[in-house]
Amino acid sequence: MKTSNQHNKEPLPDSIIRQAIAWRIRLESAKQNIEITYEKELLACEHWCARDAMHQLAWQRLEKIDSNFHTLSHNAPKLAQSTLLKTDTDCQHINRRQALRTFAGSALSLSAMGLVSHQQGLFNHLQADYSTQNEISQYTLEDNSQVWLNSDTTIELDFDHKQRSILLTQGEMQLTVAADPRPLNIITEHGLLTASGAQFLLRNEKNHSVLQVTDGSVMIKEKRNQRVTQAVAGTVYKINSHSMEQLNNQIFDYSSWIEGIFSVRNMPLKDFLAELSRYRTGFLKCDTRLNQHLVSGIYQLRDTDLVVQTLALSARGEVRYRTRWWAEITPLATS
Amino acid sequence: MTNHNTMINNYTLNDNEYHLHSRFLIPIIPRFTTLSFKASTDRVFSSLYEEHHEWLVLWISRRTRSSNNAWDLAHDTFMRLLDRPSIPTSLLNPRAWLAKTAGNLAIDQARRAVLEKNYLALLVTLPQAEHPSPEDQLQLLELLQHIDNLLSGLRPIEKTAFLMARLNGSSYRQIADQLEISLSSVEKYIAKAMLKCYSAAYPELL
Repeated sequence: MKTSNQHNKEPLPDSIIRQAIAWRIRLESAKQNIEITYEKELLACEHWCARDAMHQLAWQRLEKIDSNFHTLSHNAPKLAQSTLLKTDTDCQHINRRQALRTFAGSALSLSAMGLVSHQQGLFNHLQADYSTQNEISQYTLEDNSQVWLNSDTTIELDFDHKQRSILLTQGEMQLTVAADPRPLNIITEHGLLTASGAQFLLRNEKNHSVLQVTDGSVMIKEKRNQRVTQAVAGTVYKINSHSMEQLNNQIFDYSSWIEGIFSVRNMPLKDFLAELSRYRTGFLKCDTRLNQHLVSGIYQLRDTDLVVQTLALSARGEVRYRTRWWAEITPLATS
Repeated sequence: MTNHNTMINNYTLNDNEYHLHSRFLIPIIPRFTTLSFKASTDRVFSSLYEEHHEWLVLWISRRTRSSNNAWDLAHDTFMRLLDRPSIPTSLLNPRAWLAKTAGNLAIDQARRAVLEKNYLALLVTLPQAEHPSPEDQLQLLELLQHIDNLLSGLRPIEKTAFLMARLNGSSYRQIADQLEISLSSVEKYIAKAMLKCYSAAYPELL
């Protein structure tokens, strides 16, 4: 397998890279099964490679990338893994707190957060819609803006040399707007937002949108009367087609899902469960007597069952499952 | 936008700029540019350098704690500019681009420092028998920095799954069990990591 210089620079279609990756994954999972399946898969994979020079090239590049890991797994797998993961944890802290402080006041605090700064790569040229199903994903848009999509979210983009538009058609996103001379419009069912150099969260609900600005400011243009309001960092607004109100910003951090947690202060249990329902399948509610029980603290979204149990304890209640998918927090029978 | 166009159109090469040009352009040959294009790239670059370099050094030194590497960072930032296939169209707002790139470089630098610190700290905890030789230690560190760069931007769980597969040789099933996620999530995470690696390793080829 010779690689010429020319080969090194040849761009490959996105689809072929994805196919090559899919093959590698098939092989890797087959390897862990029965020998016979693996042989068969290997043969099929070789066929795929042989069919086209571009297939072969994609395969070689992936092999080359993987070879980086071989040395480490031979010499010091544990050391390597701990170093990489610890650096990640440490830097998350640096990125969010320190870098933000260091670069505060500039429109760049977003990119300074260094979330994904260099690889817009694959997604860049697609210019298509971004969407998530059961996962949370982060993307770098072609203008270097960073977007986090919560589960079950879709956005559509329309960027040209004069303007940038993002249409949130469903779900919830956090956008960190990159500095760019083109204005950025964010269109929701309930209003039009304009931002430059801001970080904010936008949620699309059936009858309203929620906007939480965490950095910079966002202009809100109401649909009904075209009135423009400036939402500054730290504020939360509820916008619907005919009115707009500012919400208490102390109760719930709408963007905390990005870190896999819920951070709340004195939030009524009923509202908390409504938020939590977004992250689990099934029906979740509490007895009306517990509706106003106030919840505070930080909860890990990874295990929502555990969160429900914890909530029940704090409310001096218990969790009753009517079916696997129907959970209700009720006051303890004895009390 | 108009400002920038005027700047390019009215550009003339004077001695001073020529000096800058030879000092900063010769050692670096821009990739993926044709000869005729290169000439115009050089002119644009020199004028950008002339106009914004001092500002950038100031901008960086105002924002970082140690001001002595502001000059280096500014230099590296302009070098990044040369790596770009087309300067004029992509730089409608040069200062925003420069500041953002400098910011990213500063973050990368900080991240490399953290990684090195962690590496050295963890190295000490290894039993003597597992200590790599001094030459290997440096090589490993460089490799780790390269990998950290390839994987940057992945979510912790995606990164963990991928590293378990690549470094520990764990099977997908083992990863799924250990991280308490489904087998299909493991496959999805690994695929995402591979895609990330690819786009980081071959950024200009997509």
